[in-house]
Amino acid sequence: MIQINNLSCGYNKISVVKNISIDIKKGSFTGIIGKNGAGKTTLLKSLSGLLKPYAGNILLNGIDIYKMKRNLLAEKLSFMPQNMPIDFPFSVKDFIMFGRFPLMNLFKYATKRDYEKVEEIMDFTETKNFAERNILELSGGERQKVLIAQTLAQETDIIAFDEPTSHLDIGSQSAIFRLLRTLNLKHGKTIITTIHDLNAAGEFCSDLILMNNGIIFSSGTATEVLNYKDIETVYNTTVVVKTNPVSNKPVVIPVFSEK
Amino acid sequence: MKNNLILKFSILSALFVAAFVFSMLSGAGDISLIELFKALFSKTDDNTFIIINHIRLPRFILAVVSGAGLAASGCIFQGILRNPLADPFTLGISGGSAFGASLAFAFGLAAVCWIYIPLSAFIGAMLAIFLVYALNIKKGFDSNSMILSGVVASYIFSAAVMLIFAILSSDKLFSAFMWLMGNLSSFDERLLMPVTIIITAGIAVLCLFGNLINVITLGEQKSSSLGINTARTVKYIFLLSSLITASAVSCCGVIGFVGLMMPHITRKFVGNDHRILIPASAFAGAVFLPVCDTLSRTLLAPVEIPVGVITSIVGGLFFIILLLKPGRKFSL
Amino acid sequence: MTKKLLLIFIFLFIAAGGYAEYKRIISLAPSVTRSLYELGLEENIKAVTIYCPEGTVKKENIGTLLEPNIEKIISLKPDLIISTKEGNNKSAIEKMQRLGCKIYVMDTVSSFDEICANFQNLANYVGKKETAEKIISNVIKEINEITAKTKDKKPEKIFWEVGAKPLFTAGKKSFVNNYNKFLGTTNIFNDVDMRYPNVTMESVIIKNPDIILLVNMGDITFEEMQRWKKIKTINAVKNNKIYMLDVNDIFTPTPLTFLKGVKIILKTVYRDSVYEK
Repeated sequence: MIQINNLSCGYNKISVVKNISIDIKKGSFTGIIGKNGAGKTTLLKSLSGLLKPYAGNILLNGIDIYKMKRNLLAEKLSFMPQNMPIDFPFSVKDFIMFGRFPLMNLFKYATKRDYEKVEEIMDFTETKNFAERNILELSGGERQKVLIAQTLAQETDIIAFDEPTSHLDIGSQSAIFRLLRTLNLKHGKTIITTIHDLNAAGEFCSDLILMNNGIIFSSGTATEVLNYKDIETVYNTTVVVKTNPVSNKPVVIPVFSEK
Repeated sequence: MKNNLILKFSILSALFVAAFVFSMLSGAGDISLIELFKALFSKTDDNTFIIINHIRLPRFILAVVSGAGLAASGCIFQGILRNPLADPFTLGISGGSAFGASLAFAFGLAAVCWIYIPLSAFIGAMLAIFLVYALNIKKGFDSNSMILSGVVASYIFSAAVMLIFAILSSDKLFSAFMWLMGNLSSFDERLLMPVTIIITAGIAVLCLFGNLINVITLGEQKSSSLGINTARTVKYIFLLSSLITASAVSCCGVIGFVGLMMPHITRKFVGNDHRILIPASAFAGAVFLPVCDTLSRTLLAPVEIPVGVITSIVGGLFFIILLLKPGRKFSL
Repeated sequence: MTKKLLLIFIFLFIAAGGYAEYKRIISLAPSVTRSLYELGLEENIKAVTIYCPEGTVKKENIGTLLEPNIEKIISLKPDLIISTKEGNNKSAIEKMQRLGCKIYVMDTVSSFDEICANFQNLANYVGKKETAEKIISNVIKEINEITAKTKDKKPEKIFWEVGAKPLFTAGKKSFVNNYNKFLGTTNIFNDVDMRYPNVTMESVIIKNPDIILLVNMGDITFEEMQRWKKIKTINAVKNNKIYMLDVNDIFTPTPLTFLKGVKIILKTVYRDSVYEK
């Protein structure tokens, strides 16, 4: 579905992502993992149409996304940034409605259908009970759900998330990931997300891309990518990889004692 | 919610009418409501007719248009720059127009032709806008770099103005200084039509951008992913708002406070949705400035107080009251 | 012994400034310069501010009213610096005083009498007492003659416009207001107890002056005349009595220029020169 060919991109003329090529399958739950500064967010932004490459291209169903009209891309792919400036006290409901911007009519006023969709999404993301509250007054977990709801309001087939669960507690984190899994498995959305938590990556992702220093170190299923040799090489720390007894997915356990 | 809005706009409209009557009836000489109607709708040759139609009415129209323009512009800048302290002059326009006008005063252009001072003020404003634009073109118009370049532009032009003041003769200096303080009494009526058209059209276009601005406040990444060419959109909105501001300033000088405070005051009543906030701010500015202007010429009659003094005092007091009122806490 | 005492006495008297003669005067304002010229002290002036009236000899330039160049002033080694109370930069004056300069500050005037008194005081200080007395008595004589002629005519109302954008006039505290006394006219704003208030056009219309005098400082053009001419309800417009005056003729507060100002205004306004000398 998404083909990345020889992509090099970065900031201030310096390439953070260096000549990578990979395909992202339709209907996958792809996680991009790696150290801080490995180029995860850069890659994600680039394949979401937000960072023009220095070299190479990104094709969505065969069309270069940087040659597409921006609003057409917005109908196919949505993106949730890691840090969004939230300065204005909008109500949660209004805030989520902004996500429907590309779908709205010419004068950008919400129709009945828009309101219905937003209600649906609020049910799905369990944000309905604070629909009228001021977004500035929400807790971290609540806000994250609202941001996801806003992204879902765009109703695209491909959704990109940049670290959707950083700064969240275990409970909120699992809730978010379970939401994403339902989106993926039940609603057929292609999810691409950067994650720093390897265990969540292992648990939820169907495919993983392990990045190191701007290149793809390895890619494949969770079990393939999360082996202790590769993790130790990339993260420069001793780990032990076990299997979660309930889900049969790999679990990465860091080893702190001296050897 | 809708009913609430209609009520609020009705109140604003009533206030507008009240402001109109207040402005027309206040001042030198006693004019009654009946005389006002006669003056507006029939042609006579007496003092009342002249005062109403040639002095107060044009001045009222200018105040309405400038007040609306400054308020709408301030609202836009606060939204796009995501900064509650932004106003129409944050990006250096006041400095630029002051520079243009002072230069014209220095060269004695005031005496040559009526159009030179407003024209120079306008060109000066455009210069400032161009400077900020040029400084930002590589940075994609993100809010922090725009504010920074606006500050730089302000400093440069302020320095230039002070330089001019230092070498101007005292009487020219006085004229330039009075212009800087801002007033609605010395504009040429020939400017009224073009300025009204520019500002009204400009505000109408800005109102259409309401939801676009809402989305832009979500940050560059999000708004781009929603299909908006953020840098280009911000550029156009910023140029349009600056044009509106420059037009207002070229007629009235630099009147502070309206562009800063009216959006905040309006926000407390209608919320943050820019689709409503922009027209509401414009409307509020259209009521506020004429009232302040009328006060400026009646409080110490026959002496006129600079209108900027009145806008600061009235606006400031009003805002303090709003701040102290218990209720929803707003970050802006 | 007595001779010595006498010499000492004379020396002290001179030192006390009884017959002070200052040879290196610096004037910090055009009105001061003009006063000194009238007292015949042009030679004694070493330097003037930028916008002073030119005399026959070009003078050194020491800056503007508001920003006198203190260094240059000191370097010229003046024996007397004359400034005005208003208009001059007070802190600059005080600084020069602290540096040991002798500074004479002239008061602000609000009438012809005060102009004369001020002039006399200055003259006394610089040793030109008799000159000033003579000038003043001549001026008073002439001005009384003029007043005698004008006092019987019907008093007309004048609007003194001293600034156009925004509109400024001369109030009760300005000496310009005092012209009216000798012209046999009244100032429509003589009830405003300020020097130069900013007034509204409407108040002028309501007060309906018979004459409008535009005192041109370089910012008033014929456009301004046109602006007033559109308002046909004003007497001055109906009778075509709007006149332009030059600021230098009207705004310098010395006895001679005041008299000249009265004459110029009379000539401008009453061209049939019934009241002219």
